[in-house]
Amino acid sequence: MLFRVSPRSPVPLGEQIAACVRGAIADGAALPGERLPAAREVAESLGVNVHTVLRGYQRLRDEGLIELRRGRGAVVTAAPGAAKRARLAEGVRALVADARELGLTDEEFLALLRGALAVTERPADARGAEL
Amino acid sequence: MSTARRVAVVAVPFGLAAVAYGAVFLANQDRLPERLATHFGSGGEADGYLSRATALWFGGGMLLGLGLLFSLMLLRAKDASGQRLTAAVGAGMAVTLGYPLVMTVLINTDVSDPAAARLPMWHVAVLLLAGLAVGGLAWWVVGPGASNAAEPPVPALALAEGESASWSRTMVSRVVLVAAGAGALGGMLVVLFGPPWAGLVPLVVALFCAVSASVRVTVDRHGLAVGSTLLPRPRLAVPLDRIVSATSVEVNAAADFGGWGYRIRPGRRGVVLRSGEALSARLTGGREFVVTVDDSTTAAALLNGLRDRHEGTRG
Repeated sequence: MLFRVSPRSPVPLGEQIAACVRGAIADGAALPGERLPAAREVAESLGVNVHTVLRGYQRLRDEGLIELRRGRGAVVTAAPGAAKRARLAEGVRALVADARELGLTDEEFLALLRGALAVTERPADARGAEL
Repeated sequence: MSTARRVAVVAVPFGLAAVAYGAVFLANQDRLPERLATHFGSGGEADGYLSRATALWFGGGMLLGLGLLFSLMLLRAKDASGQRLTAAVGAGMAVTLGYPLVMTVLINTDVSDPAAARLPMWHVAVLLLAGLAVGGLAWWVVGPGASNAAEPPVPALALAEGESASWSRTMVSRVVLVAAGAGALGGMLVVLFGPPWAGLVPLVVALFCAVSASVRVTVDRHGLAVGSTLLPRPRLAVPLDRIVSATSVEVNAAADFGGWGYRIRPGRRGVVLRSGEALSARLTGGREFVVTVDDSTTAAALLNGLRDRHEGTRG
């Protein structure tokens, strides 16, 4: 697991840390069940605040990519499709970046998304596998 | 020196010892008692016995088996300094085992009661000195060989100014876990069925193995660190200042390092928890620090990148 963060980047540090883990899960460098280093260790290692790292880890948990358990630390989720989920989260971020570049408002962007969702049939067999 | 000749350095002494043992045994077969005195107290008096056939097979089997083991270790060793030590230890061991085995046959010859056989203590001094001498000779014969600096460093990871980077990975050793399990089981059995204090040693060993079976390897602005994932200490750290360059190497735990755990070899030391891919850091002074870990190429690239930037800011 390689973490790279730059304080000069406009992206918040916590987001940068989350992006490192997300990328590693997406390209298979971090496998399901792999234990991530403790937030305290990452913070000490990178020279950033421990809350910054925790913010990044919490973001990943909200995306369903890692599990945070007291005492066990952060573990890449063993649920099927972790790599696909990570790629999806990366894709969404790329879309948002494009929307921002075009100057779309949040509402305009969400309307686009809703429109796309509405015309795409949800496959019946995916309903059971919902996470 | 070719691998075949290095193998001969251990195969020949073990072979000679086995042949000598077998020849002396068979030549004196008719003059040996039914049971041979095979173990001796500090005063030289016999206190352990084996039947003739058991003694022959046990002694011969031990010499041939160890000879084969050391030959295989030399065949599979990739590191010159490791091979040299293995050859020296093997050749020395052939003497320290062969000598007492042959002596045992000789002192049992023509005795009617094996209890009368004696092996004075000065033989221990002889076998140790002879073992050291032969081991030293093997060390000298094998020679230092090619330096193990053959692997070129991995290209450095380019780091932007102000960028922080940290690489971290856990590695769990199946070999050490099995050792921990075996130690715990053995210790428990001894505690249950034997003197409780005797079970303490295997239990402590098992605990130590369990703690060191899973380690986390970290590469960051401080340098390289290896620590248990369960406890904050012990933790091995190599500061960035002491690292010249890093690369990824293949190691064989038994052949190159003579086993698993924290290993020290001439010019080379490190944490070897399995055979295979390892991160290797060359230190100031020419020594090498090795940690077996997956994705070691990334770790080495980052270490070289951090090293380059460190040099830049300093000079």
